[in-house]
Order: sequence, then structure tokens, then C-alpha cells
Amino acid sequence: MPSWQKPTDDQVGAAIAKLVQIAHIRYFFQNLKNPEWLEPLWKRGFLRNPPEPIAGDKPGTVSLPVWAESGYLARVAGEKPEVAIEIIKNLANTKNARVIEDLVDAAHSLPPAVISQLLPQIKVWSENPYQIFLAEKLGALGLRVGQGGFITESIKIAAYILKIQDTTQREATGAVDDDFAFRPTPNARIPNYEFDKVLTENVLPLAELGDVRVLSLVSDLLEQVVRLAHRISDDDDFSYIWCPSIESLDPSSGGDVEDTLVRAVRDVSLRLSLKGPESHARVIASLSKRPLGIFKRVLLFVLAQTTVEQDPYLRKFALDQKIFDDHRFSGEYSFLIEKKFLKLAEADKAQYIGWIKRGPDVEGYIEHEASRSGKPPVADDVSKYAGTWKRDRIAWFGADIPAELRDEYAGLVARYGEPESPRRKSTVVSWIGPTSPRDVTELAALSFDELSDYLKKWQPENAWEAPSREGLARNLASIIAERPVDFSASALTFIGVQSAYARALITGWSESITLGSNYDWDAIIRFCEWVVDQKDTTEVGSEDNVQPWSWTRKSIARLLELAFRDSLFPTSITERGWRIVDRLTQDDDPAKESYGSGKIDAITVAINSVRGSAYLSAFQYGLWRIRTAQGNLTLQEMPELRTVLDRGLDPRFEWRLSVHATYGQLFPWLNLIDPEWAKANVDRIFPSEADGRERWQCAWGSYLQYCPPYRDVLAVLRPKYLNGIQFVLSSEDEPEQDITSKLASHIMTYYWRGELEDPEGCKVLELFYSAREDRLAANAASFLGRSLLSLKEVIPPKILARLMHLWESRVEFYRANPKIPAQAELEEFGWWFASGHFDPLWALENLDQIISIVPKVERDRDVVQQLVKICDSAPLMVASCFEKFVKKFAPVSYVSYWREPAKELLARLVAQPDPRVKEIALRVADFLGALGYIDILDRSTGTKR
Amino acid sequence: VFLLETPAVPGRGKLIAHSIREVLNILLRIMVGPVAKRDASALVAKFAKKWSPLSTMRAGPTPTTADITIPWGVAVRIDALVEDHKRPLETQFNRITALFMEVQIAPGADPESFRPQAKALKTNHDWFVDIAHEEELLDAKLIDAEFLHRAEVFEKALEGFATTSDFFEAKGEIDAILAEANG
Repeated sequence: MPSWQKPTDDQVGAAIAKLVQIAHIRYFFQNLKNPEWLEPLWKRGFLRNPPEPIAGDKPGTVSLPVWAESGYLARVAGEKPEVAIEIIKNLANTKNARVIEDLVDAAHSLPPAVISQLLPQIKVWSENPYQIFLAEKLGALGLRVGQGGFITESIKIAAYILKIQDTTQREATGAVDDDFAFRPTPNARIPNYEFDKVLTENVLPLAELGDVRVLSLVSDLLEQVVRLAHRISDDDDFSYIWCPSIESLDPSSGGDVEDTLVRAVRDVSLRLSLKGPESHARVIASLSKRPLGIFKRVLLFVLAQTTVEQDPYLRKFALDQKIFDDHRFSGEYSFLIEKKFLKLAEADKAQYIGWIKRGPDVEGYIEHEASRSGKPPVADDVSKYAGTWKRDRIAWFGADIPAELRDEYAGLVARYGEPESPRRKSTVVSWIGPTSPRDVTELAALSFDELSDYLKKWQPENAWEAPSREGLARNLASIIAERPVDFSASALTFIGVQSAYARALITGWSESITLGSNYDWDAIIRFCEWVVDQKDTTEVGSEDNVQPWSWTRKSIARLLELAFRDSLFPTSITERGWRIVDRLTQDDDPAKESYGSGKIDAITVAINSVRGSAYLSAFQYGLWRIRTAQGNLTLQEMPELRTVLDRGLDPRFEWRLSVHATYGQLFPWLNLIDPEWAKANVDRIFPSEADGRERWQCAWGSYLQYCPPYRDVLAVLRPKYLNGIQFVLSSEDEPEQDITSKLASHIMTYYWRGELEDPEGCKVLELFYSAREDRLAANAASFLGRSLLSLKEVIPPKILARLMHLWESRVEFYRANPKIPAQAELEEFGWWFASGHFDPLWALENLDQIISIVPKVERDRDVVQQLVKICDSAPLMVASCFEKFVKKFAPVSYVSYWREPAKELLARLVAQPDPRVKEIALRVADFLGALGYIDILDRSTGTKR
Repeated sequence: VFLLETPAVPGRGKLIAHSIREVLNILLRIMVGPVAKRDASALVAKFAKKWSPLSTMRAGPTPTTADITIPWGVAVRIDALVEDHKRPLETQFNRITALFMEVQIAPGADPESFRPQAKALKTNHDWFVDIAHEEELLDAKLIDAEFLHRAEVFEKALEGFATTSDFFEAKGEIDAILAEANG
């Protein structure tokens, strides 16, 4: 240990005179090691005014400033205990948990007798709502106090930290008076992880000191939790349900506060018991006086494990017939018998064996069964009950079954099988999904005829966890995926199977569609024709294991969509394929639709229903026809498709919004199939608000969501874009962010490509930017910025000029309308600047302007990196801009994110020949240094101006 | 420094003490602003003019407990007077603390952090103010070791303010102090 020099008044005074910047104060206290400075600094007024928590921007949040002065105290307190304790007491009322942690660290290095003077302060600290590592530190402090001989104080500290509170969520359930409407949730005041850690690392070692009050502490906590959690008014705690095994509880099994406390009671009891007969007696006395069953179970477990010879309590509990007969204690009681039976006196052993030989209360069993099932059990059942009862109890002896019972036990096992261990394990029952009666290998070994036969004959048991049709269908799908072509050739063999298997077949073909050109489409279509004729014979949900046929028909629609898309049908089959599609477009599914506020979900319904999927197939049919036609083809030449499309738009025939949404999703392709038809029907697909707000919403929403902004479509949809903008502007509810950003990306893409330069286009742009709020405009700026940043290739000057013009007009707009909030749009300029596509002077000028307007800038790290790239070409502008950037954003943003490029930039600027640049750079470095970023300027760079 | 090192100048001790007093006062005036004085007389004069019953009340034959009506303008001025009275007195200590806040390079400092430094500066400054107003002391008695030491401490404090904007320069000096303290 170094021999520290006491500072002179002059030295302290000189240091204080230098501590003018807050960062200097922090730096000084973070690096001061000499404990001799503690008292002089304290006397001069340091270590007296800790920063308090600062309320965050969001309600309920706070920030806890670090205080370097308390950090210094924590480091040196052990060497100056008399001064340290005074300082700690003086600071104890702070609410800043970070400072409190330092105070606890400081206290930890004081002698236990001194720490024990701090009990009132420790109690207050343990109640601090903003804990970080406080509980763990206080736990360690408590242990130190206890190990120093102050066990009462130590237990008090543990009790403060481990306090239990009722955190039941009393939410309104409609049943105001129903106490059981609330789930009781007793919890520790601190998180479970820390609760467990304090118990294991700080309380359990206290048990080594041999004081039974440690057991009282954890037992009190457990009793409080159990009574709260299970609403126990009497002594039956049902612990055999919520804690099946005391023996197998271990830290790795996790669990809640209750499990942790059972483990703590068990381990503290054991440790104390192992301290010797007197301590063992105190443990048994302590556990015995607790009426809850869980304590009796711990007691039995401790008796089984104790090393006390001639344990006076063994006889009392091993020969308690009430415990012997009570199934709630059988786990720990059987453990006791296995471990300690041989320690019993001979007469006691004989008494115990006599209980087993006498057998169970058969009369009671018969009476119980008769009352339960309404009729007395048959003789075989009675005999089985008595036999298994006896077998199970003999098994409790473990390997040491008394000789007189061995033969009987062997006979009972031969007759009734091996017994289950009464020492239950704490296990979690999990279910891994539907299971199949046969595995994939077994199914694959069957011929198609055998497989079909098996599928048709096998009947599920309808029991929970039993093999199901769904499980078998999954395995079937696996083997179809292996041989889809072979299965297609044998498709007709499977006519007559259940809907789940038919669906597995069709899905299997869809999923292997890359092999579709080899499929036997004739057989598949015939199989599909059979499927679409099927009707549900039971009401959906009335019988387990039966899937509705609509699920299978939906799979057909998807398969046909893929077949048309990939041009897989032989011409001879096409008409039959179309007929199925046509039929499915008139399917009853979905029979009803219900949506929340946004109709965008309609397309999801379409994809997941027969009719919607069938429309998607129909569109693919049209595209396939066009692809394969000789010469131009329109709907004029495809009357069958035109009929379906017209029908889908006619509200007299089609009320489903899901179907309508498909027209939006595929509008560009409808326009491709027949531009005239698309133009003629555009108002029906995207009706005005007066004609159908819901239809507009679901079609327009799915169009924006799924379609890129195609050039050809703009001509048809230009008025609709105007409607779309109007819709966002006039919407009382905020439209979904996705829709707003998609609309912005469409408009901006058209703008980028120069497609909004005609008078009609200008109208669109004008309306787009007419919003009195910045939602649309911000999305637009963000979209353009992201596109710029992601583009690595050179952007043509014409496009750049167009974008620059747009940005300048936006800045000008906000300048002319200072009351309109500009920040959301202008902060997106970070993307633009960081992209590096623009002339550096133009980009710097604009960045400089927006810094003074916005509270943050997007992509700040990329912005600083870009400043590094251009700093040699315009060093003075870069330095000036960076100074503004730092002074505006550094105090309020996460500087560490851009610290590295900032360091590089400062180093480059300091090295510039222009002294003005160096001056600014050093000023920026000083500013960042004063914020605590001490390493921002490399020493080798030099700090002298 | 010239006065300290030139014994031939008569009354130099008082001159130095006066200078130190004024240096800090002027520094505070420049950096923190002029002292906001609490002057109630102007306010009272204004509402006295507005409220004629005051004189009649004083001249009345018997006191009364009945409520009297106060004109709106008077009520506003009484309120202003009360509010002004509630405003914390702008002590020199608070102004020195504010000076520390003024010279911070970066935002985010807590004025409480500078109480020890402000206290040290004020204590030293007060000592010179007392000297400045002491009538009888001659230079020979005045300029002793303590005087010189305190003058030096004051100078260091000023230097601290003067160099504070160069963060890394000042950090270098703190490093030197730490190196000595930590042995």
C-alpha cells in the first residue's frame, strides 16, 4: 500500500481553483486515489451535494447521474473510516441510486461495527425505486455485517432487501366482487434474479453462522408468499401441486419467488442442521411450529438428510401414521424411509412393517369410489387398489426392502408392474404438436394403394396428445415432397381420403412446383374436381380431427395460381383448370368478414380464403393467356375471365371486401391484360369516398402495399393518387404508417423519374405538399434520402438537380411558413447529406441551415463520416458546420455512436494549414472534452492554440 | 503585481484590496449581469397614487372591521410586491455560483457542483473587502505573508476562469496536480 501524503492547504486550494469545468471536476475525482485528500475536500464543501435523479422525457422515466465524488469516497473510505462514515450519514438522504451504490460500496470497506450504525439509512436505501445493482450490494453489505458478529443487524438488512409485496393486477374483469377475478401475484420488491442472488450469495452463508433466526427470516417470507399466492386461510397449501419435489429444486430450474424461497428454506435448514444436534433441534422446532404443509415437507427432507446420530425426531415423524397415510407428504416421507428406516429401533421397524402388512383402508376406498362414480368398484379393482397401495409403500424402502416383504413385493410387481417413484420431479409438461400414428419411414415404405387404404381406414382416438389426422397429414406431406411427380401420377388412388390428407397432397404439389412440368396434371385436375365436389359432413369444430374442405379448396386455388403463373398446364387441361377456378371464385368461403378500423387486412383475408385465392388464380389465368396468345389479346377474347372480373366488381354479386382487395393488389396486371377494361373500371375498383369508402380503402391499400409505382399505371391512376393524398390529408384517424410511407414512396419515385413535371403531375405534387402537417412530407424526404444513400452508382446530374430543387423549395417553404413544424421533414436531410451524391458545398450549406432548425439529424454517424470525406475540399465550411453540429446535438444525443469519425475529423481539421480551421477544431474538442469525452482529441495532435 | 512588488507606492495594500474587490464585482457584473435590486418604494408610490381611500382611512374617527374594496390596479401592484418579496435574494454567493455556470463550455452542469469553489472564492474575496474598509492599517502591517498568499489564491482563481475555455490545457494542469497527489 502506498504511503499517502497529506495535502497542504495550498495544494488543495490550487486544485480547487482548477476545477472550473464540470468535466474537470469529474475527471479530478475519477482519478484521485489519495485518501488523505478526503477530509480536506469534504471540509471545503465537496462530497456534500449529490445530483438527484432527473425526470426523463417519458413519464415514469428518470436518469440517475453518475457522481464522481461518491466514486472517490467508495475507493478510499476503508482508509479513512471515521471521516467516511460522517460523509455517508450526511449524504444518506439522496434519491440517486447510483450515488447510493457508491455509498454502499464505501460502507462495505468500513468495519462491521461501524456499518451497523447505518441501519436506518440502509432501510431507506433498500426502498429506493430506482435500483440497478443496489440489492446485490446491500446483500453483500449485510453478509459482511453478519460475518462481523452483528447477526441481528445482518438479518434486518436481509429483511429490508427481500421484502415481499402484493403486486396483484386488479384489472377490471366485469366481476367486481369476484375476488378470484384477480390472479394473486406476490413478488419481491426486487427482480427475481436479484432476489435469488441475494438469498443464495448473502443469506445462505449467514446460516453457516448457526443462528436459527436466519431460518425464521426465510420461513416468514415463504409463508407470506404462499398465503398471498394461494389465498390460503387454513393450513393446506397445495404445495404438492405447485412444488412437486423439494429435493429436485435447484437454481438452474428457475422458477418464481415461491420456488426460490422453498429452496432457501430447504438449504438454510440443511446447513443449520448440519451444524450439530443442538442446531438440528432448533431447525426441527422452527419448522414444526409452522402449520403450512410445505414446512412439514422440508422438515421430512431435512430429517432424511441430517447427519445427527440417534436423531430423537426420526421416530416421531417416521412413525406418524397421519403422515404415512397422507399422499401430500409421500415424496419427502418416502425419501425419509429410504434413508433412515434402518436407523429406527427394531420395535419401531416392526410397527412400520405392520402398517404395510395391514394394507390400506379398503372400506374407505369402496365408499369413495361408489360416491364418485355412483356404483361400487368391482372386486378386481378393489384387489388392484390394495395391491398397488402395498407395492408402492414397500418400494419406499428403496434397495433395502426388509426380508419379510421381499417376496410379496416381487409378486406385486409381477402382477401390477413397477411402481412410479413417489419422489416426483418438478417438471414442465410440454406438447410438441400433432403426432402421427406412423412415422415418415413407415409411410414411405407403403405402396400408393396401401397408403391410400391406410389413410382411409385409420381412425384417431380423439384423445389429447394421441396421434391425429393432422399429424398423419404432416408426415404425408413430407413424403409427397420427396416424390411429388409419382404422387401426381397416382392422384386418383387418393380419391376418397379425408380433407386433411387431400390438402397435404395438393400442398405437397404446390411446394414442389419447380417439378411441375413433370406432374400428371390430368390426374391432379381430376383429383381437384373430386375435391371441389366435397361437402363438410360435420359442422366445423364439432368433431376433432376433421378439417373443413374449404382449407383444401384454398390449397387448390393456390396450386392453380402457380400452375398458370409457371405455364405448366398442357393446353388440353387448361379449360378444366379454369372451370375449377371459376367455380372457386363463387365459393362460400369466406362466409363472413369482420375487420378492425383499417381495411388493409382485407388482402390478408383474401389470401387466406377460397374466393380471394381463386381471384388471384383468375388473374394469373389472364396473364397466362396473354403470354401464350398469338398476337394481342384482350378481355374481349377472354369472355370467361371478363365475366368473373365484372362479377367481382358488382356489389349485387360480390359483397366481400377481400375479393375487392385483390383488384387493388393486381391492378397493374389488370392494366396489362386489358388497359381499356382497366381504364373503364378504375372508378369501380378505386371508388370515390362517396361511392364506397371501404372498397376504396381496401383496394388502394393493397395496391400501395404490393405494387411498385409502374410508369404505365400512372396515366390511369393519376386522379386516384390525388384521391389517395386527399384521403391521408383529410383522414381523422391517423392512416397506417405503412400506407402513408408507401404513398410517399410512389409519389417520390414518379418525381425522381421526372414523371410529375407535366401540369397534371404538378397538381399531384402540389397537393402532396399542401399538408398542414409533416407526415407525408417527412416520409417523402426519408424515402428519397434512403434511396440516395443506398445507391452506389453515379446519379445523373439531371436527377440530382431535380432533387436539389425539391429540397430547396421545401426549405424555402418552411422559411416562408415558420409556424408549420419543419423538423420531421428536415431532419431527414441527414440521409441526403450522408449519401455523398451532391456537390459538397451545396450539401454543407443545407446541412448548416437545417442544424439550426432541427433537434436531431438522421444518420448522424454517416453525416460525420461524410464530413471526414469532404473536409479537405472545404475545410473551413466543414469545421464551421461541425461546430454547429456538435454544439447542437452532442449534449442531447448519443455521442459514442459518432465519436470515432468525430475523432478522425478533428484530427484532420487540426492538421489543416488554415489557423482558423484549427481554432474551430480545438474549440469543438474543448466542448466535447467538457461533456466528458476526454479521448476526443489525440494528445499527439497537440492542444496548444 | 506591480503594486505588490513596488514598496515605494504609499497605500498600496489598500489599493490592492480595493482592486481585488472591484475585479470580482466587475467580473460578476459582466458575466452574470447587474444585481437585480429589490426596490419596493416605486411600486408602493404607484399604488398609493391609485388608492385615495388610504388617506380617508387614516383620518377616520373609528377603526372598522368591515371589508373595503381595493381597485384592480392596486390589487395587481400588491400582488407584484408580494411576488417580488418572495424572490430569493440575489446574494453574492449565488452570483459567484452563477459565474461558474456562465463559464461552462458545455451544458449540463449542476450549480450545486460549484458550491465549494464559490465558497472558497467568496471567503477570500470577503477578506480583501474587509481590508479595503479598514481605516488604520498601514502597508507595513497590512502586507504580510497571509496577504500575499491570499492575493496569490485570488489570482489563481482568476487564472482558472481565464483558461477554462481551453479544456485540454486545463486538463493537463489537473493531471499535474493528480500526479502529485497520487504520489
